[in-house]
Amino acid sequence: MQPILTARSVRKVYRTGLQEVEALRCIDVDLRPGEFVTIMGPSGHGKTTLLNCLSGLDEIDEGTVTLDGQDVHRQSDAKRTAQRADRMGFVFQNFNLLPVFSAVENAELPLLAKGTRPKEARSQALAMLGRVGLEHRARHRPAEMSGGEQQRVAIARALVARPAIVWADEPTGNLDSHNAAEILRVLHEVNAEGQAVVLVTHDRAIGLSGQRMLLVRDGRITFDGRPSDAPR
Amino acid sequence: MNAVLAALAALVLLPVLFTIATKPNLRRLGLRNVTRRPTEALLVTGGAMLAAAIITSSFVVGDTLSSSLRDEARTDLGPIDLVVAVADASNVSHVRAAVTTPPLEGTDDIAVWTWSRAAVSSADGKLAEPRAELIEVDFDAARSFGGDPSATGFVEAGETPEAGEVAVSAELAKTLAVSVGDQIVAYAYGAELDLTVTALVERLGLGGRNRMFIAPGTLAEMAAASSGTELEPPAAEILISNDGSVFDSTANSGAIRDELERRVGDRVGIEIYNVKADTLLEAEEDGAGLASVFSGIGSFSVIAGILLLVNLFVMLSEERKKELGLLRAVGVKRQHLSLAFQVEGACYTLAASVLGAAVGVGLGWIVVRLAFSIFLDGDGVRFLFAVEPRSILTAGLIGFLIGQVTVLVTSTRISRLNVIASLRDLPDPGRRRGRARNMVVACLALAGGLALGYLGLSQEQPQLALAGPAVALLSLIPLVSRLVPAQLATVAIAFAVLVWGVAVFVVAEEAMNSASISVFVVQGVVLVLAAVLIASSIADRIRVRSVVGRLGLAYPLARRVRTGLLLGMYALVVFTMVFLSTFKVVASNSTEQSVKQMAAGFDLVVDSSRSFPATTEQLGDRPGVVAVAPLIRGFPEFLSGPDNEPERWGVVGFTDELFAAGEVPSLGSRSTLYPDDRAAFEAVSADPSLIIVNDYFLGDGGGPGGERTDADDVVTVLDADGGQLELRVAGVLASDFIFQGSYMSAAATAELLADESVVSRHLVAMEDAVDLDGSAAEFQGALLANGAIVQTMSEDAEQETADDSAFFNLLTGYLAVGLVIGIAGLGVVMVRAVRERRKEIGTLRAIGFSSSTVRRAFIVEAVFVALQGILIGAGLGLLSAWCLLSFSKTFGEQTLPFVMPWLSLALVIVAPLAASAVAAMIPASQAAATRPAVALRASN
Repeated sequence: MQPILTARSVRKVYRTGLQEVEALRCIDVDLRPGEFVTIMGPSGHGKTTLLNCLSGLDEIDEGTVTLDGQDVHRQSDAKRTAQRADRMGFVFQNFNLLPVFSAVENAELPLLAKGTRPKEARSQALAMLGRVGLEHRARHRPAEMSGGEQQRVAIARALVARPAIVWADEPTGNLDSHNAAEILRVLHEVNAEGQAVVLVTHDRAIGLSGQRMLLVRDGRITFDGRPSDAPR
Repeated sequence: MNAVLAALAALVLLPVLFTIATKPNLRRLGLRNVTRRPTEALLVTGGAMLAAAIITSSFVVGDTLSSSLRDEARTDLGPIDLVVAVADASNVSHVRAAVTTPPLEGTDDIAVWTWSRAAVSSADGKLAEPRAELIEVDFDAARSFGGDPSATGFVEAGETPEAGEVAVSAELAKTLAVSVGDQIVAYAYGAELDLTVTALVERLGLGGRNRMFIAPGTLAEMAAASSGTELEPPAAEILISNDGSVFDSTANSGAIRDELERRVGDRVGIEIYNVKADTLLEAEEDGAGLASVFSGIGSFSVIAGILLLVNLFVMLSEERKKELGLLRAVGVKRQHLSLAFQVEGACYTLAASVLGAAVGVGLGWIVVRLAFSIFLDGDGVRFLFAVEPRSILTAGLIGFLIGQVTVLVTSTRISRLNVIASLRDLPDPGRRRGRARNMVVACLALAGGLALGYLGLSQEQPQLALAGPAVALLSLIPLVSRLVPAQLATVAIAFAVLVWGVAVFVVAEEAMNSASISVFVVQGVVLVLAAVLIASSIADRIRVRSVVGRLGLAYPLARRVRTGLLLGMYALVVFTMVFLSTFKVVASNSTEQSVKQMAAGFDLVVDSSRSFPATTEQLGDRPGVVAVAPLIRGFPEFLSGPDNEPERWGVVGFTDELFAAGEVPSLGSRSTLYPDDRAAFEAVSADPSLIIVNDYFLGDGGGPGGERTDADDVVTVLDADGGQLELRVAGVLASDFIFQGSYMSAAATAELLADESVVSRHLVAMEDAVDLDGSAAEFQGALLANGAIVQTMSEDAEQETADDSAFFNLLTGYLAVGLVIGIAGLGVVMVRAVRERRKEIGTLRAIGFSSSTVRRAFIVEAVFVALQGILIGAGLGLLSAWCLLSFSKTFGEQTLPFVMPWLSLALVIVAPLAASAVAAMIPASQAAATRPAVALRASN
C-alpha cells in the first residue's frame, strides 16, 4: 500500500538566543492509510516535535515531508492550512477547546474551516458528538464539562471532517484510567474505519495497543516496528 | 484643596511604600512585572495618563483665560481702581469736592476727565470708527496718576493737546491708518472737528483703545453749539487710584466704594463703578467657568480612561491567573497579592500622572488657543498663556488618585481569586458568602438610592434627583433576579433606568431646572450604564452565519464585563459628541426662524450716538427705506433674583411705528388676557404698567423669587429718582438676538429714564429687492457723524450661531481625545487578547483555519465592539437631545425643533469605526502570523 505521508532526512533545530538544540535528526518514516502508529520515548526527546513537523504545524530545517505526493514544507501557508483542514485531525493533551464555544460549536469548527455550510456542519458535529457519547452535552461549554468529556469533544472535533490522519498528542495524559480507556476505544474505532492514527504517549500499555510503534530518543527514531518487538 | 489631595495621595501610597520598604518579595514581584514587558508597561501608563492630561488641560484653559482677562486690568485700567461717573460734566467740580473732602482713606490719587461719545474717520473718509470717545484730560495729571507713570500709558504722550490737536490711542490710529502729523475728523454733537494727530497713546492704563484726547474745553463748546437740548451732555469721570500697584490695589475697593456711595451715591446722575475689582473678579470667574466647562466635558474622557485602566488590570490578572493562583497556593496572602499589584500599579500611575500633566499642558495650549480665537478675537484681549504650578499639582494629584484608587479596587478584586480555578484555568465558581453579601449590598444601595433620590427631588438637586432613583433601580437587579430569570430582570430594570435617565428632565422639571454640566455627566453615565447592561444581557441572542463573524463575536459576547467596559468607553464619549452635534445643528437651523421672530418685519438695526443720534426722518429719507421704528433705549435697574438685587437690563420704548412693517416681534408666551401677540404689544403701548420681557430676562434665576420670568409675573424697576415701579409682564419674547431686553411704551420709558431718555435705536424696514448688507454699510458711512452702527437683523444672530458652532466644534474636538482613549484602549485590549488567546489561535490554525480568517476574526471583533459602543452612544445622544428639545423647558420660551445631525452623525460613527479597525490591524496581523506549533508549544 502506498504511504500517504513520507518523511525523509527530517531535521529540526530549536534556536534560543545563541543556543541551538537539535530536536530531530535524520528522520525517515512512512505512514500508510489505516495505520495505528504510537510514538513513545522519554520526555523532551522530540515526540511532540516529530508530530508537529510531520503534520506541518511546525517548520523543519532539513529534509522533506510529503503528503499525498506534495512536499508539505514547500507549500504556501494557505495551502498547508487547507491541507490540514482537509486531511488531518488533531487531539491535544490539554484538549485545546475554545472556551467561549459550546461542545457542538467546537466540534463543527473543522467543517466550517473547510467551508461546509453551517447547517450541515452542525448536523455532522452533533452526529459526531453522539458517536463519542456526548450528544446530551452539545450545548455545554468546556468549563461545564469534565476532563474526559472535554477530550471526547476534542476527538469529535478531530474526527468530524473524516480526516485521513488523526494526530493525537498525549490525548490521555490528563485523564483517569477509565476516561483514557474510553478515548483509546474511540480512536481504535476510527482506525478500524480506515483512518490513520498517530498517537504520542508515555503509557506503554497504550503504546502497545497500536499496530506499529516508533521509539524516539535524542531526536532520532531508534525503533520502528511492531509494538511487541519494541525494546522495553 | 491641594493639601487634601496630597493627604489622600499619601493615604493610598502609604501601603505601597510600606510594602516596598518591608516586603522585598512583594516589591520584587511588583517591580519586575513592570520591567518584564516594557511595551505593555508603556501602554498601561499611556492609558492611565489620560485622566491627568485631560484635567491639566482644563486647568490650563482656566489659567490662561483668567490671566489674559486679568491683563485687561493693566491695559485698560492701570492705576484706575474706581470710577465715579458724572452724567453731566458741568456738575463735576461739586462731586469732586464731595469725593475728596475729607481725603478718601486707602486711595493715593484722583484724576478727572471729561468725555463724550464720538465717531471718527481718516481725513479722506475711507476709514472710520463709529464708536470712539473724545476725552479732555490734563496730560501731566494723567501721567502722574497713581504715582507710576509707566502704568498710565502717557509716558510718551507729550503735552496736553491744544485746539485742533489730538493724541490718539494707538489701536484707533491703527484702525484709521494714521500716525503723528496726519489729519482725522471727529464727529460729535452734529459737528465735524478737524484734528491733527500730535501723539499716539499706548494701550495701557488711561490710554484705552478708541480714545481721542483733545484740548480741554472743546466738548463744552461743541455741545453748546449743538441745537439738540435733549441730547446727552458731555460727561465726566472721577478716576480713583487706590494704594498699591496695578494688581494688588483692590483689597480696600469695597470699603472705598461704600464710602463713595455714602458721600455722593444718592445724587442724581452719579454712578460708582468698582472697575478694577470687577474686572479681576470677572477674569477669575470667566477663567474658572470655562475651565469647569472643559473639565466637565473632559470628565467623559476621564471616565473612559478609568474604564480602560480597569480593563487593562482585569486583563493583566487574567493573563497572570496561573501565576497568581500559584502564589496563593504557596501561601501568599490575598492582602499581599493585592499589595504586589498596588506596587506595580503605583509605578504606572505615578509615571502617568507626571506624563499626563506634561501632555495636558500641550493639550491645554491647543484648546485655549482655539477657545480664545472663538470668544476673544476682536475684543482686544491679549493671549497670555499661563499655567499655575498649583494647577499642575492639582491635576497631577487628581490623576494619580484616580489611577491608584482604580488599581486599589481592581487589585483587591483580583486577590479574591479561587486558587484551584486559577491553577486549572477554570472559571471562578463564585462563593455563597459572596452572594449573600451581594444581597445585603443591594438592599443598602436600594435604600441609599431612594434616600438620594428623595433628597434630590425635594431639594431640587438635579444630580441626586437623576442618580438616586437610577441607583435604587439598579440595586433591584440582584433582588428581582431571585424571582425571575436574571436576564429578564436585568433588561427590564436597565430599561427602566434608561427611561428615567431620559424622562427625568420632563417628569422632574422643577428639580432639573438648575441643570449644569455635571448633571449632563451624571446623565451620560446613567444612560450608558443602563444601555450597556441591556446590550450585554441580550448579546447572546446575536446570531451570525459566517465563520469569521462567529469567531469574531465569540469572545466579546462571552466576556461581558470586559466588553461592557469597552462599550462604556466608546458609548460615553460618542453620547456626548452626538448630543453636542445635535445642539449645534439645532442652534444653527433655528437662527433663521429666531431672526424672523424678533424682526417684526424690519431688516436693519441702527444704533447711534446718544449725544447726537440719527433721527427717524434722516433714516426715512434714505433710498429703499419702507418703514422706520424709533426706539428709546436705556438700561434701568430692575430688582433681580430672590434677594431683589438691582441689575441693569435693556428697555426699549416703542410707539405704534413698531407695527409699521406689518408684524410684531413673536412672543414665546403671553398673558391669557391677549388673544395674539399684536394684542399684547398694543396693550403694552397703551398701558405704562405693562412690559414685554425677553426670553433670558435678568438671566437665569433673575425673575421674581429667583425663577425664570413668565407672563403675568410682576417685575420691579427703579426709576431715575430711585422710586420703585411695578410692571406686569404681558408676554415673553421668543428670541432677542439684538438685545432689546424688554419692550415698554415710549411714554412710560421716557418717564422711567427721565434725562437719559434718548431715541438712540431705530429699526428700519427696506424694500424687498434691496441688498441688506450693502445698505447697512452704506447707512453706516452716511450716518458717521451720528456714530451709527448699522447691522442687519441677522448679523448678531449669525455671529452668535457661528461662535456657538465653533465652540461646539471645539468641545467635540476636546471630546475626541476621549475617543482616542477608546480607540487606543481597544487596540491595547486587542494586543493583550492576542497574547491571552495564543493557545486558541494555535488550535484554530492547527485545525485548518487560514491566517486571513484569524486576522479577519480579530478585526471583526474590534469593529463589533466599537460599532456596538458607537451605536449605543449615538442612539442615547439623539434620544436625550430629542427628549430635551421636545419636552423640556430648559431653553425657556424658545422653541427649538429637533434636527437630525446627519453629517456629524456619519462622521462620529464612521471615523472612530474606521480608526478602531485600523487600531485592531496590528494585533490582528500578529494573531494571523502566529505559527500554530509555536502558539501551542508556548501555551502548554
